[in-house]
Amino acid sequence: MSHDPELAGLSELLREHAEASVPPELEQRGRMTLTRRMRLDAERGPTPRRRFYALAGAVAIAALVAFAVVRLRPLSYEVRGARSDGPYIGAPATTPVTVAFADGSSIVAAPGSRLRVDEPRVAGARVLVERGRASVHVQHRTGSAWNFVAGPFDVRVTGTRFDLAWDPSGETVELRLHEGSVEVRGPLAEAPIAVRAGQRFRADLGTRSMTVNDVAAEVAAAPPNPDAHPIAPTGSVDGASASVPAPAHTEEPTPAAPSELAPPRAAPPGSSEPWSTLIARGQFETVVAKAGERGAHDCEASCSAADLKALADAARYTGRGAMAEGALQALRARFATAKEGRAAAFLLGRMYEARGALRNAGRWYDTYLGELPSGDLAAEALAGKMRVVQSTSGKAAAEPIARKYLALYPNGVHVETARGIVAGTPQP
Amino acid sequence: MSNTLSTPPPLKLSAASGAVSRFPAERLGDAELVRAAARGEADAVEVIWNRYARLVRGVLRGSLGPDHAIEDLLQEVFVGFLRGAKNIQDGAALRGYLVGVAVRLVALELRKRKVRRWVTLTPTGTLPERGEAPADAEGRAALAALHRVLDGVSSRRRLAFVLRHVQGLEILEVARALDISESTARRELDKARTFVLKRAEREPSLRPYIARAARGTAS
Repeated sequence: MSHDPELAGLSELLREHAEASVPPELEQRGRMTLTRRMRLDAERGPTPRRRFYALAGAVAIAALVAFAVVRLRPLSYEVRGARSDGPYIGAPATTPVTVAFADGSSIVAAPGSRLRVDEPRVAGARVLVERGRASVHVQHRTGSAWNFVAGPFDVRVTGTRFDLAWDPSGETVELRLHEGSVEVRGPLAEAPIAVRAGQRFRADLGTRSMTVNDVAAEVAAAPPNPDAHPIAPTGSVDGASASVPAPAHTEEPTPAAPSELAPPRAAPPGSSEPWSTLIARGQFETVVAKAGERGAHDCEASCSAADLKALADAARYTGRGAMAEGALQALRARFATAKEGRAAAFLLGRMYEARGALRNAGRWYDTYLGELPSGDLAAEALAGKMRVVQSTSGKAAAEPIARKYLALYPNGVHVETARGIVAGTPQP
Repeated sequence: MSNTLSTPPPLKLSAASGAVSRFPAERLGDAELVRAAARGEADAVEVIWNRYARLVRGVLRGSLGPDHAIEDLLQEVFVGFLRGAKNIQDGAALRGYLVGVAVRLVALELRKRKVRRWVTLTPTGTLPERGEAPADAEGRAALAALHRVLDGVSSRRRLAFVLRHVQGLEILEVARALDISESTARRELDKARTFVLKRAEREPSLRPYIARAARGTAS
């Protein structure tokens, strides 16, 4: 039968065996076995294996449904200190109210404030600050999505600690960030505004003004309890007015974000206002230009602490790293014990870390922590040090710092990183 | 009448008694047999067995050699067919279907043998007790040698070789049974042929079979 003469012999050998007849009783037994199995199959219905698979499938589906019900349920919350009327929460005139969420996040509404937990979500919520001030602590978790709405402003948060105040009669919003970073969207800027730890964002719809200030030194001097020290209605770190015209009414538009600025614009000449005021207006290029007129090195040697701080901010916000570094180093050299000088240590640490100059970064974080161990930027500085040490010397070296962070800031935004370092370090 | 066989009436009236009697299952076409088997009709199953057990056994034996598992595997092929009969769309292709099931079982069995070799249960992967083998010693030795040679090729190549050169299937049928393209089947057959002839020359017990072929070619 082979089609190949060379294989004919071998094929025949195989075929002889393959087609060898079998005893009739074997043939008969095979046929009967088959029909018997067919009858048994018909009588038994589903086999045990099929039943097992069906049962396993049902259990898996039930588990999935249970998982979805548990995991996809919106965050629950509890109101302490006042009667909750659905999503609406009104704090009494004399005492604050705490809203505690199941994931550990919390909001403290100042006396007389009104909040509305508008939309609880699986990993967050949309909260309206209808009036007054809220001190917020959002636990950072993967996939968390929190929005805090104050008037027309929407603060988007993943994990942070901040104070948010909204005055509906004056139409002013104020945000002071203690940890992490947030994005603010509102009618006065086209792009979201990034606000980082140690910064204050303020907007006034009436005058269409909007400012972002570094208030590190001011915050560092303040006690940690936000209720005891409400956000100042106006002013910046330099003491200048923060109530400045909004982009539509100014020569320079308000920047989208200090660290994500549009390309530099030409500075308007002849301005004689303090640099800190120009910074508050977002006129960073003007400050850089004015420093250029004086000569950058001349400014480093002779500018006041406030002007150096303003120059450092303007340079940082416009991406002039070397100029910012020069101004900050001058602050450290000439005003090391002033509030600007102390804050400069933290800013230098952050700047070097961003550049990848980790040893320098670690040294400056250490300097800040040495000078202001309980300053408001201490948590960020300690976290920065933890990251730097982990990168340069490994997890084992970073482990004591991580433990310290967890002990000092158990609800800080970097606790996950710290826990990861502690968990990943073999115990002695 | 071919159309009568392909779609026959399941029942016919007996003129003598006026009673309704069953149409003989052995005269049914494959398509109708498959439908009847799917309905659980035992006589249709018996006819299918009678029609194709020899072919399927041949595929199993040709591929695996003497092995006690052959009759069990034969049962598995038919039980598999019965369980899937309701889903068979083209009952007329029953022959190809059964060969395909047998091929898959052989491939599975060959993999098991390979595992047995890996875990050194037996040196060859086959179980010590062999099934039906040629009665004569030379024939047994030659058959064992040829299966040793076939052990050296992949399951797919081995099956292609057996289906083509032992069962006499056309290349297109080989391709369908192995679920490969016709050109792939041709390549597999070509490689199997080269390999088998080369290795068979090294087996003293197989030389007479090659020599016989050479003589036949020469004459």
